[in-house]
Amino acid sequence: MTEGITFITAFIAVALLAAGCASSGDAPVQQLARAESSIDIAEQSGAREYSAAALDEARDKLMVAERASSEEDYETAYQLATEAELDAEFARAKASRVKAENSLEEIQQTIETLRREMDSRTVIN
Amino acid sequence: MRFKALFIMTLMLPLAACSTLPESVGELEDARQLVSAVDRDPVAAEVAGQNLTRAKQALQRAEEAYDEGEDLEDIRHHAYVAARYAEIAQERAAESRARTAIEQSEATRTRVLLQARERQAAEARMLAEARGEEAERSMAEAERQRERAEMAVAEASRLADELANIETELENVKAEQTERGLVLTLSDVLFDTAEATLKPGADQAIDRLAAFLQESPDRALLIEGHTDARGTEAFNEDLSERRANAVRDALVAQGIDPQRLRTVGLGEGYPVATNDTVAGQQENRRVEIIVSDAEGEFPDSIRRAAN
Repeated sequence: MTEGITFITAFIAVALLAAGCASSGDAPVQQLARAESSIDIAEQSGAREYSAAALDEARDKLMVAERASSEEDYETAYQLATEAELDAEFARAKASRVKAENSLEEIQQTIETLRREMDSRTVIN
Repeated sequence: MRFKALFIMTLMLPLAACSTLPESVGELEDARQLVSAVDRDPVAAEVAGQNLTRAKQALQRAEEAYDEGEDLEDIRHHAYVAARYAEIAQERAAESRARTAIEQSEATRTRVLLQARERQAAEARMLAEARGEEAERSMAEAERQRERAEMAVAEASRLADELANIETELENVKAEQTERGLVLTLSDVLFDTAEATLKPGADQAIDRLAAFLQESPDRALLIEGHTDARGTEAFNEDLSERRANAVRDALVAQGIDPQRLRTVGLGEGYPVATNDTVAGQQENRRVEIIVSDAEGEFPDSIRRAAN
């Protein structure tokens, strides 16, 4: 029984690999859509301002992925769409981190200003 | 495990034909380092556990693809995916640290603001206290001045009473409040006629005056001699001066400091009555004693200069 399953699995694996080399199957429509939506979200979170390089990379890869898809190179299209999605996700995470750090700096400056004011008043007294 | 080994062996055959692999793949090296660095960050595991898991899975796939000699682009892709997931986890961890610091800083800011307000309140309190003290001081000062003024009024009134008593008790002595201050007038009858010697009847007046001066040690006397218009001016001036000096000497004999007694002979120049009648002439022959203020000064309105 176990040997039967092993044989079938091995056969399927070989078949899949052959498919990978030849590049066939369906267009990665879902992955392309996910990449695009991820880019939109990143832009809305200020990635254009805080992490432009990663955002550009995502856009470029999505473009290439779309071209690959239209040329029926679905494997490349899927991989590039996945990378584009992650690039955009990274751009969003970075923008969010930079904004948080900026807020932190602002608060720390407020504290510093307050302390200086208090110190200068103490000197006057 | 047995299944896996068989699976891999099966794969080896077609792959060996498909590609040739380099010694190392840069993307894979980078991904390994990144994933292991993020894996060591407890914050990343806490806030981006899923990203970290995906990073590890993708790295695993890349390693497998490498080990199994898969297509270089596939290895690179999986390594890239692993690195990106790791970087995303890294960003999330950094953001989380920033947010924790923001919370702490906000608490600090609140505390510092509170301190600043407390200090402001303390300063305001100190200022108010200082002002209160100043107000108290100026009130006390006003009170002292009022007391001094009251004392001066009381003293002046006591002086007036004293002199009024002298007038009441003694014949031939008149006390009045004039523009020159309090003035005691010793009548001519207290002197020998045309002489500067005091009659025994003047003793009482001198005693009272001396007593008064001893009670009021800050006061001084201006003693003015006056005559009527009979006789020469020179004689009258000399007589008036000698009479004034006689009063002074009598007071000094009673122990009064001569520094407090100024004398002047004014002759017939300042009559208080007509010189045409005997009664008027007698009124004009007199010694006027002007009492100084409490500081030993005579009012500015004094008409005659003492010598």
